[in-house]
Amino acid sequence: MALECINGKILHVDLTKRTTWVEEPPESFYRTYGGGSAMGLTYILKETPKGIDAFDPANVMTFFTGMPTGLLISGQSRISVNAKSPLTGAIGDSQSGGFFPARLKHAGFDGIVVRGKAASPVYLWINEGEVEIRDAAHLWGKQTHESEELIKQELKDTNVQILQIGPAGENKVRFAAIISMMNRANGRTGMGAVMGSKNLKAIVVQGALRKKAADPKALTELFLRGTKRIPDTPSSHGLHVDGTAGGVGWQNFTGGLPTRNYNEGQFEGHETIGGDVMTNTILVKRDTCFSCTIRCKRVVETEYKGIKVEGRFGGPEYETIGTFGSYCAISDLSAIALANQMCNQNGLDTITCGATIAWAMESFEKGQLTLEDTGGIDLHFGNADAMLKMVELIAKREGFGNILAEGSAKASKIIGRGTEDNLATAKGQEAPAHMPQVKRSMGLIYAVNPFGADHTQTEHDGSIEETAGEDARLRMSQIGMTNFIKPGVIDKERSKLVAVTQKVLSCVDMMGLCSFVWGVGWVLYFPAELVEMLRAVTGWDLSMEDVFEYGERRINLLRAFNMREGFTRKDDDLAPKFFRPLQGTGPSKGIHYTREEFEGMKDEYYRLMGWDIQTGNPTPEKLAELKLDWVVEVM
Amino acid sequence: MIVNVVLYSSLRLLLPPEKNGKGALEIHDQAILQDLLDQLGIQGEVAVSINDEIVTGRQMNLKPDDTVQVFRPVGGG
Ligand code: SF4
Repeated sequence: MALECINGKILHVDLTKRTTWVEEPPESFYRTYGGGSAMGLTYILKETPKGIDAFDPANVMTFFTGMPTGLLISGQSRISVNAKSPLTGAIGDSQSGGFFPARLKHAGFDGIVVRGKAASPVYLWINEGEVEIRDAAHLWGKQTHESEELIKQELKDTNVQILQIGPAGENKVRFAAIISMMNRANGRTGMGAVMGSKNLKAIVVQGALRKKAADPKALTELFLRGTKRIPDTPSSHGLHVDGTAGGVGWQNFTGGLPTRNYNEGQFEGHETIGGDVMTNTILVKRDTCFSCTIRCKRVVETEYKGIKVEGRFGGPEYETIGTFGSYCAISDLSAIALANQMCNQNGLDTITCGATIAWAMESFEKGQLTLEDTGGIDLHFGNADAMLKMVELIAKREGFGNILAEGSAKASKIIGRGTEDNLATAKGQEAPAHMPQVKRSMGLIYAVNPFGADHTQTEHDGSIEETAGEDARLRMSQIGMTNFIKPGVIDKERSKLVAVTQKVLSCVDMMGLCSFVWGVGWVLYFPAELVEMLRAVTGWDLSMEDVFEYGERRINLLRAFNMREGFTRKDDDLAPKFFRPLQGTGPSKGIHYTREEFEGMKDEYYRLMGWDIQTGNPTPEKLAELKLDWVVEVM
Repeated sequence: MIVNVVLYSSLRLLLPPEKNGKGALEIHDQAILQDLLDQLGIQGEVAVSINDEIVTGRQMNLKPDDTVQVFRPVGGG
């Protein structure tokens, strides 16, 4: 019987020729690639010419859901967006949740492949299998809430789901995000700027074509089992009560809350910016993604110096509180909430945006940047007004904002004067708010991850350290991790943690799943239940081995793209800051990587991945083993 | 004896709302850490520190005036 969890249809769009067509791949395509970025990369690797600029119309852009997306179970409504990244020059990859991914499935397609560039701004309108390329000249220049209203009026439907860019994407800010619901972001790696370069303002979907699991009873049982478990699972219940920002206190306690541009690990103002404070002061509601009972999303209302922060723009995640808060030494939660709103209105990645401003603040403090450079803006740490002004200027690419719109790594090359020394990046992407000085494997994944520093691609270190509790140990044992090591010590097990859990989370990503629900530790379901769920959805005889194989296939496809662009082991590196002793207070003070231990972790990681240790790249044998022989031919 | 507790994130809801997760708790003199967690009603995976040191097991004796912090660690976000 045909698979009922998918549409079996992929939409192709050529914006240059203004044409669309539908592909109906065989089931074997789904069985091999699952969805998400693995599926996207099959098109990108075959069609995107080697070495092009990310803003070249030939940069093929893909949007893919996963097999379970749109079904009734928590944590399945996610979409991966891929193209060459304008921020890093490597592959771009970014996921987001909300309702758009499920609705795209219900509108009749599993994914979209976009080629070329429209002669003038357009948006895509997809309604139960019908597709139209519509004029978007009247939407160009509009912020996300304005476009959202105009599109809904135009289509006379207030329930359409809209994935769109704001002015930052139109202005090709290199870290522009793609936004849906005015508060969910495919934030990282500048995918919004690629959309802008194609004159594609939005993708709008509507439909009620419900999909079915192969074993609906088993899926429902699993859904209810998970939902019942939430109140007694501190991580999931905590996510519901205080959101991701509930972790601020813990991060600060361990010395792992990046402070003053990643120079310190404890922030004196942490007590006023945590999730508990948000809940007790400015939270008005909790929100969710399609069919998820955790409901971890924040809706906040507040005011900063007379400017309203509105509920429709959501509320800041832990990462956003980190980058606009502790990174910039700002302890005013309302200012952070306003920065979050501005990013969602303009379509900016909150991580790179806040981290880039923090980098400029450190450079300003050191006198490497002056008032003359910044156009009179006093960029000292802690200046919330200056931080907010910079967000505005970045989105518009005005004044000093035009330089920061390049991201910190490219901006440091423009400015020079030793500002390169202040970077906290890997592959040109700013590090998120999980510090390698505390979570000792984090620097390795930041360096080897194909799309730059990212905290979502592996399990964090607490789960394999001696301090791990029974629950974590059980979860880790289900994926073959049974050695528990001393906190803080660099050990081969850290490379194994990265290699093993990167594969699991890679599968989670490509299947369109949320890692707060289906990840490894500190989440709702156990790894064995991930297999159980995928079996119920597809009816295929899957095992944990298949989870590893799916994940590995995605990682190798992403790495193959980078290999073709000339990336090698030397690009799997961290900014010099991570090799200098951490300043500040707390248990992480003085900690850093030595070059030797860091390269040693890489050696072991490449060995475990079956790659060439000298180049850090996938070997033809490895690709063949993963049924990716064709990749060798398109190199 | 009396021990001080600081409960982070949603765990703070185990104490009356006005305490916002911070309080002093009476517990029997022979109490081990697990007794305190049971008394608070804490189940599932949490991280615990006693007097600012993260602890591995749950069987250590508590002393009067110890400060026990209980966290919900985070992996992502
Ligand atoms: S846990 Fe949060 S982010 Fe994940 S699916 Fe549920 S509501 Fe969405």
